[in-house]
Amino acid sequence: MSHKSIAARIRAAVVGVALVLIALFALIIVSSNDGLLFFPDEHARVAVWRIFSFGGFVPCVIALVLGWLIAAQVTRDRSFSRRTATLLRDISTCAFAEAGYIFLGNVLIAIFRMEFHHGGLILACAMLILIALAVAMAFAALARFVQKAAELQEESDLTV
Amino acid sequence: MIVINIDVMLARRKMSVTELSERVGITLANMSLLKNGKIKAVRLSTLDALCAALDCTPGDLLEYRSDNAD
Repeated sequence: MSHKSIAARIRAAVVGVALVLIALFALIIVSSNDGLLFFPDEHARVAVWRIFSFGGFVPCVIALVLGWLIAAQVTRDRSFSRRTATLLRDISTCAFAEAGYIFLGNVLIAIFRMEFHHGGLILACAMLILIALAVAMAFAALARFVQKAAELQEESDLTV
Repeated sequence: MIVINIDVMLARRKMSVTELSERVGITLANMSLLKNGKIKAVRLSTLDALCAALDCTPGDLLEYRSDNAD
């Protein structure tokens, strides 16, 4: 498989994830509006929950931008470079931040007794935390491997 | 540190860098890196080709200089 086709697949994956995120974003808006219909007095709680949910998108969007930049690196046939390793490490950091954000958000919501945040959502958040941690660890390992590969590549480039 | 004395050998043989790079079969850019000592390693095959092109031994091309020497 050529580097250009790999880059095209990475871009397709980034676009796919972006579409899923947009769908999730719309779903959160619709479901929180529905929540307001059933509980019209819960404006403040729904607003807090919305802010919490939308905040969770920030690391995802940053990770998608970083993924796009990695695709650009692959297109230029610079897959094994320090820049790619840094981008992968940054995605890992984003995933760790996402896990931490969801965890802290749930703790705060539990402390302030936001009943709107029911058991099903807490379970979904726990799943998201596990997925984010798995992604973070996978990307951290990948970043390490790419870093080592970049060092070997540099050494090879400086061998005449 | 290891110093590569290609300049000296080129002057002795009255050969240009371009000609040497063509004879050895490496790019001018790589020859320039080699000449300026900006490389990390030299393949034995490259050293062999250099010695053949310059009619010399590896000892004529490579020299060890102590890092402490002024």
